[in-house]
Amino acid sequence: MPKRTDIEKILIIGSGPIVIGQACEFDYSGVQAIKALKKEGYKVILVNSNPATIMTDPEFADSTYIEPLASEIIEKIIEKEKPDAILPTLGGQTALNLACELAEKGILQKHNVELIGADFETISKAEDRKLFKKMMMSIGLDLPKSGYAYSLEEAVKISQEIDFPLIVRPSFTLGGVGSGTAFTKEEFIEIVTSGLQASPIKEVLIEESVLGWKELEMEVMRDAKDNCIAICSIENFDPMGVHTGDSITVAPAMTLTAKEYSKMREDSFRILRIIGMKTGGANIQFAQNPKDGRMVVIEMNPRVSRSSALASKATGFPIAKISTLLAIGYNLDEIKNDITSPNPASFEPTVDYHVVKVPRFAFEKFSDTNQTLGTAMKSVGETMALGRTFKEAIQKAIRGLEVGRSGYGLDKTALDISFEKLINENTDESLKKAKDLVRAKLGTPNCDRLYVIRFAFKLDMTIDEIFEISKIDPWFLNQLKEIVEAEKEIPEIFNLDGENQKQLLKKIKEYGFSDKQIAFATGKTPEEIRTFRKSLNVVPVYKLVDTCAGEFKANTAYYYSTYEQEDDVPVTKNKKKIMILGAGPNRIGQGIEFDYCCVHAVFALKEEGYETIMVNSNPETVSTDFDTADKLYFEPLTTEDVLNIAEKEGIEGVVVQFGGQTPLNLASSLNKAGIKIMGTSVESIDMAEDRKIFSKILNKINIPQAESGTAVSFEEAKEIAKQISYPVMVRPSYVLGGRAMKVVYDETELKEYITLASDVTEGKPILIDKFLDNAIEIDVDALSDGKDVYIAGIMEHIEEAGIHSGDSACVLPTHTLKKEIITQIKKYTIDLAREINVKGLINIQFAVKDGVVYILEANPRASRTVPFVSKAMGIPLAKLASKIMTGKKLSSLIPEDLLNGQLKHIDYYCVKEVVLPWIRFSNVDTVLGPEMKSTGEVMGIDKDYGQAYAKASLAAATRFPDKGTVLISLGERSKSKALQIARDFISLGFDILATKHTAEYFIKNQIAAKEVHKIEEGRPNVTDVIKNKDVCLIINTPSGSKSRKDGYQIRRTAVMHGVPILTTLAAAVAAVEAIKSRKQMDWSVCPIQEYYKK
Amino acid sequence: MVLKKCILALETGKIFEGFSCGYDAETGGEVVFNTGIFGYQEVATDPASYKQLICFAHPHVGNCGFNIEDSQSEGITAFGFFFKEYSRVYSNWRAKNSMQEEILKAKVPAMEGFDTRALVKYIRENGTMRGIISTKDYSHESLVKKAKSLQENSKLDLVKEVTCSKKYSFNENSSKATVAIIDFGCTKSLLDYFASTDFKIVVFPANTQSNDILKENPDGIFLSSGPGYAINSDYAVKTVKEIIAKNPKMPIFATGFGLDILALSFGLKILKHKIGHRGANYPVKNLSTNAVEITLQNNGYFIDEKTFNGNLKITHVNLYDNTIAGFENNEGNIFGICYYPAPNSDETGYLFKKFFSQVVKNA
Repeated sequence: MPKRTDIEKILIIGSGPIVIGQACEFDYSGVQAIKALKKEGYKVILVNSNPATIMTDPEFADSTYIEPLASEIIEKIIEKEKPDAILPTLGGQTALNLACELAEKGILQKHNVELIGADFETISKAEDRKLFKKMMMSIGLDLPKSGYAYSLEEAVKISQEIDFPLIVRPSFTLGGVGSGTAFTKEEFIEIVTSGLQASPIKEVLIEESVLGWKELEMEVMRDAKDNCIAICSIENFDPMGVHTGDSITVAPAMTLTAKEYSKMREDSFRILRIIGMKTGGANIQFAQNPKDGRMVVIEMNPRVSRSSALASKATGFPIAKISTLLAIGYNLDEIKNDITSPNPASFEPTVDYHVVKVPRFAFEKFSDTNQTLGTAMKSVGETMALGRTFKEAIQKAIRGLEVGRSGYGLDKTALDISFEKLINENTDESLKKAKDLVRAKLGTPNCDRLYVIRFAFKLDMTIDEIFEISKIDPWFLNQLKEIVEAEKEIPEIFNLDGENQKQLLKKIKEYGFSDKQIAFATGKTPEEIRTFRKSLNVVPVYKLVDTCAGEFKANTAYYYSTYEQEDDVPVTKNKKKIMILGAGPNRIGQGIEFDYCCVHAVFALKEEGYETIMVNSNPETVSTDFDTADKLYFEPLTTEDVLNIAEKEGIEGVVVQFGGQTPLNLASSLNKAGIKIMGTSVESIDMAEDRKIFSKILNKINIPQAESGTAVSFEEAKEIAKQISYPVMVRPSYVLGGRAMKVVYDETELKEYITLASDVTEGKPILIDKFLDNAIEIDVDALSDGKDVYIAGIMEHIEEAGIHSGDSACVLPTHTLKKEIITQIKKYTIDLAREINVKGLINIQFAVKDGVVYILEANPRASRTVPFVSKAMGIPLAKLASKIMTGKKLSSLIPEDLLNGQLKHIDYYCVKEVVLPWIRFSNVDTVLGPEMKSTGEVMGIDKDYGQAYAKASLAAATRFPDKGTVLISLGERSKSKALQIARDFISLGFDILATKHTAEYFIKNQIAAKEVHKIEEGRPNVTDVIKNKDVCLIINTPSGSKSRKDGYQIRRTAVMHGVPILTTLAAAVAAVEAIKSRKQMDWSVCPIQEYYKK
Repeated sequence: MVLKKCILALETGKIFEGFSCGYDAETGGEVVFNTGIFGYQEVATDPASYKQLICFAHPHVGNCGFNIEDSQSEGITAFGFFFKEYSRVYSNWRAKNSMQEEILKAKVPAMEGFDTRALVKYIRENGTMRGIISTKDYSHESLVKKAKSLQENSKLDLVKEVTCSKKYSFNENSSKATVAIIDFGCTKSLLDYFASTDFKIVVFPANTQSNDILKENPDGIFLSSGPGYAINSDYAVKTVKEIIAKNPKMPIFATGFGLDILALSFGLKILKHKIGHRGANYPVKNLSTNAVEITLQNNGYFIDEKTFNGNLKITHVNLYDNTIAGFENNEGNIFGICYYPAPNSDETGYLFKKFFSQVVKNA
């Protein structure tokens, strides 16, 4: 059937902020969808609260709403835009849930809007496990034994009929929140209790454990004519029991025969049919018992997913785009495969390489949490690598992960050192200890398990033994063993000569070892290995990802490296080329914001007539879509891998400003190797990064900076702290994203910090800065060509200085700063940008205290806030910065009157709010601090400040109440400032409940507050009222160590029970504004294109 | 471990060098590539792969070992293999032994550790061709000479090498109906499937005369897949022609090579593909339902559409190259497809249903 002509306007729902389980893969799918629909002539309306997405760029959709993803907001958009249809299958679980809510509330029917891609019935059948089970049984498919419970009693009853261990899964939660595996009755009760809480319908599924079985996935598609195709099979290296998002996965599946694969494929199609998935892509998970081959269905997602993004990148087949075209009526055979055109899309991709995905974790930021991997996802990002063999791909993936490893082993990581020490000691006792450690780490899934297997082999454990403990398939184990064996040969390399030497080096490179590893094993430097390797002409070739294993000529330019004979890449001559380095795997502090910037750089450089070459290793991103850049190299972001490409392509320069810290870390080594760094020079970057040089510059141009010092011992630290006076901010000299950074208020805390913090060891320098208590923090993003400066945005943080800027909410334009202060900030920005000769972007953080503007830090690169500022102001900063890098003058890009100090005027407020992953990490305190912990951000935009803040909060899943009781529990330092807040709440009609000291203080100040027991003061206590939802909002500020325990309990209970909680007074003040506005006016929605027009 | 060198020499003079992971030997055949990810066991043992030197495009081969059930004949039929990497440890719950053991049993060479994608691309550009794989002779010149002097597979009657030596049957006491299979190199999975039905099944060697087949009073004839160029098996064309002439209402179902025989017996021409269709992902459009079937193929030849005549109707088209993938006569009792249908699948199982219902009607 050709495309539908009965619909003209389609609303796409995005996935909102980046959270664990939902990352930039939905920006990737959304962008493909919008592009496809626009090309087909439809009007596209988009709603997504995440400003750091490419899809919300004003050029993409016809109307773009950066508004909260809540049903009442969507209804407003529907009323205004009157779309004919909603496409809910591209925005992850968020969009799917929202579509269901719209259907259930009758909103779709009322406004006569149709769901395309997946309808309400399909979504319900796939999501409701009970219905799903019934459907699967009706087509004769096998499932794990299971039962549903709505209370603990029912759950216990079910558990008596199935053998332990048992899996508990709450219904309708995102990314498996609240689910877990129970080995004992005690654990079972604990998981069921929290699972019932987490499920919006208070329902949990109790299931036979298929722990240790093989986990397999199928990415399949169906069109309206019932043509079904399988895009990709995925096998999990980590067997069942670990969430697939936390598992190392490979594509294609490696341990299935054709018979098993065909059955799994056909079962998948039958599932699509019975669930009624009319068009589009779906992901289906299976488990197979490795002993007898029994295969059971685990679950189905009737939408594009993280796995489908991976499958798209793994095969080259654009699942999201094709899904979209199917949703508007096309059939598979009517769509051309872009890659092997004129072939139709109705085929199944096949590959002649191997793909490995490895997740990236952030446990170092949440050290109090249980690090065992289970059925609820905990990883924050992933990297993918392609190689001709598993060995090559896994080694590339490990070095692409950027966790201080340059491959499988031959690194100085703490884990490796501790094992090597035991092995080298070589006593019975040390070897036994090492083996016990290995066994323990193999038995419980954790993020180090892959690396522990290497030591299992070094300790002469057999594949069978390792399999018995870990259930990791022997095929994978053998591949790793082959790497470990090859590792032993590396030191021999310089004892050989001639052809033997070359053969060994070739083999080592084919096995995926990096120059850095070879250097480590041979005591040379990576540069020496590189020179040696090139002298033997052992250099990589690049192969094409063509969806057809070489059978047809392909039109794409999507490549990966390998060590073989033939190179598939046509190197363009006579064209200027620029390489753009991506941000690698998502992590806390470096996520979609940087991919956004990289994609803009590609767009801008294309506009300027350059051939763009993208290098990145993150499969979730838009930057790695095969038609974003002119050429895509899917490679790890290391000096070796990047240099290989640069030398092959003969590039004019490389852009390192946009991919966050990852490319910046490569800048100096690339520069040293003779590659030109586009824009701001390496020297200028160093000026900002080196504290001493930076201080000198600030002195020269008279910009105040907080006093600081460097100490290498507690004694020194004590002296410095005394000198600059408490509170002080302390941190190890080399940290990223505020890791191990802390504000200390007295000497005791300082001592505790130095003795306890794992990254702070005596002898290594500690940086001590005067902490500007209660200062207002300001973020500035600006552009400069070295001469002129364009200040794009001055953002005022809602939270006070001391909280990591990545975790603070902020507002544009500033709303409390005096004119003189703003003038001062502008001047400092211009002076600094000129002084360090910025050519491109610069981000500066200031703190304002007592009318003085202090500089906190400056980063001459794209900051996390670039997309937010770009969206708020309607100016594509990253694009402009890229053009500056090619030599364009700012004055040719920006109206003269906006240069050197004049801010663009906007008559609305944009509030950025962050989302935090507390619910994922049990036991972790939710207090904000100098170490960044948020995973994503949202934007609220409105003419009214309070309304904008309310929107941002709602988008970040905090719905402010309009009546009820506010629980207030304050630390000593913040009590006095809370009085006005409490009074405001009372005047807004709220009741106040407070813990003992806070209540006493309030009452003393004539504020009507009721007292609630602290935890040890008797029941009902403060956590009881939270659990019972007797309070609708909590304001809790942390205090010193005394009541830390109570505060911690309040905060965790609030998170687990979904009661909004504010942990800073600044946020409480903003909340008052928001609630005030909410009481005065209804939500109003407006596309960004209209804001920009005004 | 010292690896033994292995060489592939193509008739064009192109040389690929790798390491031996098979039998110490030298063989010649038609160099082809297969793009399937799963099913190396089936491909390696398919009688249609006879006298081929097969390059697997997927880099890991041997990962599931060999099991008892999935071989399509007694053992390996291909004359040699090319792998990027042969898996020395296999893992699958049904595996009984390694692929290497089977390769050694069949005494054929296998080569690994080289750029198989380069070989695939070379064949893609230059067509399938004669080649010699050897661990015995390392002289490029001599090997190329040998490759050039090989008889081309397209000039050989390969069917006679793989067909059964004498007639045999399944379900002899069945009173339902009788299906005759002409074995041009029928895959074991199809034979097993036919045996599992309640029909009487009689399997005939490829060179059986029509009278000898009709003597068994078959109610339907199945023309199996097999190796090579059908014009070299004129005896089979003659047999099919005679059966149709004598029994115009006889249901006939042909697959793969069988379709080529059927086409020839209707006077159509068969041409050689440049590279063939070998893999598991070939989209075929069923023109009567407009459905797309993703099919398994192992073909080197196709029907010349220009010779197609009015007595026949094209039923299936290959979407990759628009070649004929299936046809039937106007009465609909004689039909065939170029691919390997899977009897129990939702996708292509309908062909067997159609055939059997006609067989039952004809009984």
